[in-house]
Formats: sequence, C-alpha cells, structure tokens
Amino acid sequence: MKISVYWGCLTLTSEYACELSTRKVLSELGIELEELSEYTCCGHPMKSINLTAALYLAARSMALAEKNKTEILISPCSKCYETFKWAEDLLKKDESLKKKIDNILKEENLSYNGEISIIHMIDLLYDYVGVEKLKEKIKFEFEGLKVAAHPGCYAFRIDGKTGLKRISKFDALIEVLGANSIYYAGKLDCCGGNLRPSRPEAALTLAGEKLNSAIEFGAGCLVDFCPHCHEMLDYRQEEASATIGKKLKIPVIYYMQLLGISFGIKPEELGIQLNKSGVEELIKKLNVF
Amino acid sequence: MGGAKRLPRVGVFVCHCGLNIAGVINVEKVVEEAFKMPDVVIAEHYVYMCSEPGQKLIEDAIKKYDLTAVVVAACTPSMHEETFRRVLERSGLSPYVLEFVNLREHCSWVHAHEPEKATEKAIALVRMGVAKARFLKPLEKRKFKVWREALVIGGGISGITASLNLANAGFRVYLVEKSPTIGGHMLMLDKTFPTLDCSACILTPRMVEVSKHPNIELMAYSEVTNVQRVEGGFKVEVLKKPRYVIEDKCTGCGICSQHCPIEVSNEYDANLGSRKAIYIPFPQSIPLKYVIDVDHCIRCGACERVCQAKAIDFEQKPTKIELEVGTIIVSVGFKVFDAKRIIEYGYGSLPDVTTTLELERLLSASGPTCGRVMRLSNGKIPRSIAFIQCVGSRDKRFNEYCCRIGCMVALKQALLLKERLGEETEVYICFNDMRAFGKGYEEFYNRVRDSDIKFVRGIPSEVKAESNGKLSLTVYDQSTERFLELKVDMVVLTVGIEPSDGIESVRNVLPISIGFDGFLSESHPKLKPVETNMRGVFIAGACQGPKDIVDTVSQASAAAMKAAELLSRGEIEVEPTIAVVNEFKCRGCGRCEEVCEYGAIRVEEINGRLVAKVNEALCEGCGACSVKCPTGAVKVQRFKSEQIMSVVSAATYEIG
Amino acid sequence: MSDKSSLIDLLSMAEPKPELRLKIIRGVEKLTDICFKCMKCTSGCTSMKLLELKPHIIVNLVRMGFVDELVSSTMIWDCSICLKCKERCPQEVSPVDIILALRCEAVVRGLEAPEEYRSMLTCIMENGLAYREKKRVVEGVEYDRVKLGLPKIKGPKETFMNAMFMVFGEVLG
Repeated sequence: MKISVYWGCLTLTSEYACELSTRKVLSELGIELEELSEYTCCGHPMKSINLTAALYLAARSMALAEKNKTEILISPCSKCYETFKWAEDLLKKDESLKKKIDNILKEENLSYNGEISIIHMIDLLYDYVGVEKLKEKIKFEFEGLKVAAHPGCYAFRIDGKTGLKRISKFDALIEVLGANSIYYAGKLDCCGGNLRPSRPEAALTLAGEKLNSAIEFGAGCLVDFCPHCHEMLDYRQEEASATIGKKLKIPVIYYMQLLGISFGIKPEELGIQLNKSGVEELIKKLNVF
Repeated sequence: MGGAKRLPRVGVFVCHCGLNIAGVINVEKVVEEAFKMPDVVIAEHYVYMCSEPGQKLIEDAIKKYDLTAVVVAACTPSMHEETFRRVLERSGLSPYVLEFVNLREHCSWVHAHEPEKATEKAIALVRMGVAKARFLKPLEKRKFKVWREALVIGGGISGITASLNLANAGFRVYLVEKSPTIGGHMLMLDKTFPTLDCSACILTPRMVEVSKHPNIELMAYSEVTNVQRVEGGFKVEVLKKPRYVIEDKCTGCGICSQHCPIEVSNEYDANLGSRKAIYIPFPQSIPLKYVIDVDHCIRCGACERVCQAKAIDFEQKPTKIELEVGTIIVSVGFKVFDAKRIIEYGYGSLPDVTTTLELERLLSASGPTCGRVMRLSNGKIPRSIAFIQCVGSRDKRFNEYCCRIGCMVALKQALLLKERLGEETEVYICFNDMRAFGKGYEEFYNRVRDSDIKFVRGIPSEVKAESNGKLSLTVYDQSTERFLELKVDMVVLTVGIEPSDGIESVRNVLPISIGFDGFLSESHPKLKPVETNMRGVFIAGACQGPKDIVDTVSQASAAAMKAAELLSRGEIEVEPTIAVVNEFKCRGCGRCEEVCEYGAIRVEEINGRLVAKVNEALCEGCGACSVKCPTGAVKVQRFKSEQIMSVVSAATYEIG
Repeated sequence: MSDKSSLIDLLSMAEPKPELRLKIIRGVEKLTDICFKCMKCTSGCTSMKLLELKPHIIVNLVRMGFVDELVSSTMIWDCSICLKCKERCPQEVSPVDIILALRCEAVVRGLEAPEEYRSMLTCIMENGLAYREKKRVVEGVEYDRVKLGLPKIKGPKETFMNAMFMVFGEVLG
C-alpha cells in the first residue's frame, strides 16, 4: 500500500521521534510512504491571522500530494489532519473561495482537485490495517500496563460520529497490545498545545492538569498521537509540573513508539531516546528485551 | 340526467379570499374574461366564497342558470374542495362536476410582486378549469361495507384507552401487544406528574378492565405479521408467539420463577435488575401468565418439575390467527434516547451516571431495589444528585425536536428524591428552558422551586469521575454568572424520546408515512391529528410524536372516535375518481396489476377473454396503471384523455 | 444614539455594527443567530477556568452586532482552539470559528497579535515551515535530523514567496 505522507512543521523541525517511529512502524506494516516534493506549513497557525493564507497553505500541500498520484494522504499530526479536512470542506462548499485559491495555486503551477482522501492515523491503523494484522506483527504484549490514552482534541472533535468513534478505536489499538486503557477524568481534555502561542502559562497549566489526572487514576504511562500534544506532555513535562506546583512524573510515549516496541523493533530506531519523560525506564520495566 | 345530450353550461366563481387573492389579482378582470370563455353562462366574484353567503351565491346561480358544471377559483382544493362539493350536492348536482382552480398557492401567493402577470396567469388557470369542466361527467360516490371490528396495535396506555373506548361503544376490538404484558412505559413509572398519582394504581384498573371486557380480545405476546387491504377493511395476520406456558392452566403463582437457575438482565427494569428465564415483566402484568425467554432458557426442566398446574409446555408452537377488521389504530409508543451516544456524559462507563427512566425504576416499589434509591456503584444512598436536561433532545446532532416531557419528569423526580432521601439531600437541576405548559404544570413547577431544589440555568458539557468515586461537572450558571463545579454522588440524564422500533415493524406491513423525525405522520398537524395517509388507519400516542400521558389519553380517545365513525356507519363512501377499464381496448397484458401498490386491479378471465378488473373498494386513483397501460384501456375518472387534452389546449391558448 | 439602530448598550454606549457582523460570520459555517443560550460551550470551555473565556458571550455579542469591542479585546486570544464548543453545541454553532474570524479582523486592523504568531508567519515566509529546524537536547545529548538519519527537509521553491505575497494582497471578504 502506497500513501502520501505530510509530516507537519513540528515533526520536521523538532519532534523527530514522531517521524522516526511512524516511518519504522509503517514500513514494518508494508505501507510505503511517498513524500511530498516540498513541505510547507499546513496553515493552521494562519487561521488566527489570515484565513486566505491558512486555506492557501492547506490547499498547496494537498495539491502537492495529488501530484503523487496516491489515493490517500496521511499526517501523523492531528492538527494538520484537521486543517486539511477543514480546507477540503470549505473549498468544496464555497465556489468563489475555490476560484481565489486556484488562481494563486496556478502561479505555482499547482492545482487542487479535491481528489485525494485525507485519513487520520487512527483510522489508518484500525480500518485500513486492522487489529488482526497488527496482532500478527506483535511479538511482545504489555500485560498489566495501565495506559492513560490521550487521543487529543483534533483526533475526535471533528468529523461528527466518525470522529467520536476514534476514542474507542484508540482504546482498542492500545488493548491489542495487551495493555489496559484506563478511565481518567482528564481523558477528553485538551493538553493546551494550541494555547501556547497566546497564553503560554495557561497552556502549561492545562498540560500539567492532564498529566496530574492520569497519575491520580494510577496510569503507568500516557500514550498520545499528535506531536503538539507530545511536546506539551513529554518535552515540557517539567515546565508543566513547575507551573502547577506538583511533582509530575509519568512516561509519555507516542502510540507508534509503543506499537514499534511491541513489534520488537529496537528503541533507538523508534526515537525512544528523544522522550524526556522517562520512557526508557518504562521499557526496561516492561521487560521486553 | 337522461335524455338528449345537453350543451355544457358552466358557472365560474372567483373568490377574493379576503386580500389573499384579490390583493394581487384583479378579480373583476378575471370574471370579465371568464364570460368570454366557451360555454360559460355566468361568472361572479365574492370576498369569501367558502362563507355562508358565498356558498348561497353558488347555489342560487346553479338554480337560476341551470348549470351543468361549476368552476370555483379560490384557495387550495385540500382546504375547500369538499366544502364546494357539498354545495353542488345540496343543489342537486353531482359533486364531481366541480372543478377547483387554485388562484392562491398557485398564483397570488407566489407572484405577489407581479400583479399584472399574476392576473394574466389567473385568467389562464381559469380558462384551463373551464376547459376541463366542460368535459366532466356526473359521477357518484360508491358505498362499500366496513367490518365492524377494530384492531389496536400496541397495548400501552394509548392502546388501552382506545380499546376501552371502542369496546364500550359496542364494537369488538382485538388488542395486539408484542410484549408479554400490556401497560407499556406507564407501567414502569413510579408516580405521574403533576398530581403524583401512583402510576400503577391508575393504570392497572384499566388493564384489568381490558382483560375482562367482553368486547376486547387481548392478544399479548403477539405481533402483526401481515395486513391486506380488502373490501370491508383489512385482513390481518397475527402471530401469537409461544410462551411455552399453557395460558389456561397458568395461575401466575410464580413458583417456577423461584426455581429457575437462569438470571438475565431485566429490560422491564431498564436493565438495572435481573429476571429469570421464566418470568412475568411486572407483578401487575396482564395477562398474569408466565413466559419463557427462549433465548436464555436452558431447558433444565426445573420449572416443569415444580409447576403444580402442569402448565409448562416446551413443545408449544407459535399460532397464526387471521382477523378481519374494519379499522386499525396504531399505538406502538416510543423508546428513550440511548445516552451512550453522548460519550462525554459518561453513561455506560461511569456507573453512577443514570437516566430518568432508570431512576424511575429505582423509585418504583416494584423495581430492582424495591423503591430504595441508591448509587449503582456502591449501593449507598446518594447525598447529592444533579439532573442534566435535554440529553438527546433539541440537539441537531441527535434529535432536533423537544421531548416535551423532560422538564416535568425531572421536576417530579427531583421532588420525589427530596421526599424519599431527606431534606438534607442536595438536588440540582441543570436546565436550558423549563417547559411546564400543561394544566397544573406551572403550579407544580412553583411547588418544586419552593422545595429547596437548586436550579442552575446552564447545561454542563461533560461529566467526569473523580478518583474518589464522586462525579464532577462544571457548569456556567447564567442566573448568577458564576462558574460552578458540582461534585455529586449521582448524575441523572434526562433522556429524550425517540420513535419506537415498533414503528418499523408496523410499517413493514402497513405503509403509513413517517415524518423527518421518524414519528408516524398525521394527515394534518392541526385539524387531523389522528388520521393517516391510509384510509381507515389511525394513530395515537407517542408514536405520532412525543407527548405525556394526558395528551396520549386524549389522542387515543380521538382515534377511537374516528375509528367509530367508520365502524358505526358500517360502510364507507369511496371517491369515484378511481380507475376504470375500457374492456374493448384491454388485452389483459397485466402491466397494470404489476404496478398497482394497492392490489386494486387484477387481470381476470371473463367470457374466455383476459381483461383487467378494478376492485373499486381498494383503488386510490393514483393513476399508475393508466400510465403503464399500453393501449390506453385504463383511465382514471376525471383525468381522461379528452379532459386532460382540453386543459392543455386552454393552457396554450395564447401560443395558439 | 444614531438614527440607524434601535439598540444601544447603556453601560458601554456601544451600538451594533451590522455590516461588520456580516463580515465576521461570512467565513463561518453556522450563523450565530441560532444560539439558544444553553451555556454548554462555556460550561465546558477549556479556557474558562483559567482565563474566564465565555464563548456564549462572544457568540451573542456578535449576534447583536457588538463586534468592535471583541476585535480589540484580549479575550479572543484566550481561546485554546480545542474545538469542544464546536463538537458539543446542540445547535451546531461554532464559537471557535467566530473567535478565529475575530482574530483575523484584529490583524487586519493592525491590532496586537501575540508575538509567537508573528514569528510563525515570518518563519513561513522564510522557509515554508512555522518553526526553524532545532536541535533536541535530551539528558545532555544533542540530536538533529542528520544524527538520527532522517532525510533533509525539502523546502519550497521560489514561487512560494510570490504566492504568499499574492495571498496577503487578497482580502478574504
């Protein structure tokens, strides 16, 4: 299966573990990734500055993906996924907007025709690959591991019923690894990632409260998908702790990294060394290798 | 009307409809032009043609000018075609030589900004009406018998009320109910608002009356599997499901249930408690006969061994019963919204998040906890409870309509909780609007506000569980402009009402229309609340739309009355605007039979020829057969070729 | 009070601006008019507890036409764009989209946008992405794309800059 991949600004410039683990695990599953010829921002930050800019940036990347002649475009970043779906919908509905954007795309010899399907990573793993196929590849199970699942706002607050189903799909994807996706009060809460540009302290408070909730309910680790969430909860875990004045220590790991570990892939190949929140100790505890 | 063929003498009557028509169309000009049309001998206009003086105007004209056909140019035929047909009848003319032209919906209302063009169009429409009127034949209504029995599908309070009304009026009623007992949702309730009557106490006497009434044959644990429209009414097939208990022998003693080893979730307790595989739904079930849930029974035979009356029969088979009835009343009730669909409220994953229906069972003395309200997580008494209103109602993501009962149910339950659990119990109701619209309802709302129940004007977005087991929710209270956090022992979701699954089952055998919301459609929302698109079929209760017991009972009696109208006359009059076959042109190909949805036209052998024959009692005059007929043998009265072609010619008059 | 409006806010003496209101809701999926003030958005708002953001007030102020005060307020930058309000609104109003439209209007007027957004825009104009490539330091060790064996980032062609200038020349309604 060959699909186009859009990495997203954060993954390309600092959240390298996301790219490493996604590349490794998808290749293990026989999914060939085709890059876009250029990478520019998906446009999400521009939604707060200039709507045309946001739309144009999204349409540009989708147009580049269409050049690849693959049916599907994925992004490991939920925010980028949401922006593409938003742009796809708006350009379908508003003819005059589409004309405006088409004119600008023409300047770059690009065209967006609404042909490419944009799929979320959770749907890719659950619907396209399927739990059965994952089971075949799993070598190690994490019995007794209590996982606080963090699907992230942009995974399930869009796409109506289909979006909501992603919460239970994510739980299923965790349970297929033998772990237990526990209930915790903050499960559906926002990590604060989008608030950082305008209100950094409040954003860290949100991240801290999320981590606190997971710890309160006895989670052994927190699993996320989107690099923006991961940056708040893993990379900025110490800052978040300091902001809410509580000692928070909980391993935060990308789902793709956890999946890769269960496949038996070496931690360095999944970027485990890049997690700041003590994931290496977690892996040692799991006695996998 | 025999003798030599007369030239048609057409009268044209143009109504102003107040300003609805005359405000746009120059009615005098229309009348002036009408006089010039062929065979028109009189044309008049009047401000309200449907009023008494207006009708008299037409009656007088018919007599004075010896009219043979009448054109009324006014509002829409769905409003007044019947009215003017009766005028013609009173004046000695066949009601079917009336041609109704719509100058309101088809002209003045849609062309209000172009009065000159509207007047031109009005003249053209009248010309078309006159052209058709000239070819109309004096048809007569036909009468057919109606069997004097009624079928009521659904044995909740609406079906029970309708059955009793009809039975007391002297008609025989078959009441079919798919569950083992009648009583419906009302039997699940503890108290009813606003009087706080005990629900079972007011319902069970009616249930007993139904079981004892000489005119009612109660068929519980049965379903309607086929309905056929025939002359006389309906031929109905009912399937009586096997209870595996011989009804005549069962005394309802209950010893079998005590010994049954299988326990399953009890749907009659809103799945809170359990029942055995051999069970009765409620202690007050009617018929008070046990039933074996064959999906869970393991045939251990324990019940058989202890039954003194030897009533167990594992070999029992379903029985098919055929009925012939004149009318059908559909009263299949409702189901509640599944709150699991709103993930953020935690219903289904947090045990202390419950629904109003579940709470009703907890409050009920015959419920799973014998009337003791307790937290479902630990069995302890809740000290604080919060209601969330409009769950699944007034919500474009789920059901856009208001459930109509949510506000009153929450008020009632809040008051009962205060009474049962003690004054110190904190009860909160988080609401958007408070709809206490019925008789005594506002006074009840006053009483509840006076009972230290805290009303928060705002709907919470999410319900979370804390690690200590308490439920927490945040809500912005508009009245105090404060952002509140409620930490409570129990959250009650006031779930909305949805169309019951029974509607789909009924529609499989009886094609009654439904609306966008999935409830059965009435013929007219204001003036025909219990009639449907099917002649002789009526609806009542929550299956027509969400409503409380008061309105359900009223509507059930209304449906019974409409049914009685048909049954008491013992006959119906059928419109003559039905299909008619020219037997010389018909070659018996059968295409009309294939396409008829009502089974009203059949190819038969007559004198050695295959010819199509119309069953006049069943034909609805839809015209599908006339479209399919390759020879033009089948036509619908009032829509014959010469009638339609003359209208077309008149319409293209200007073009020439 | 001007002749045009029959409405005035006595505490702020603000009058509604209907044309400005139409401009804001034009880019937004669902109109503000159908909000029936159930408070659900504010009850669950991620930014309510910490920053006192009340989405229902923003929606209804726009509905009334009191747009100016919102555009120049700091309140609209308190939104965490978590989409909870959009997800849960029973009338399918989207407060978050209205807030984003108000932000864009603030930018058009040259009002203060948070520094971080401006630097993201500058970065996009320079190298196509919202951030610059960084070294990640974990437990004293420096990691970058080369060290981790990741391919070089493919930046945009020169045509991109021209296109972006075209974009900012176009005003979205």
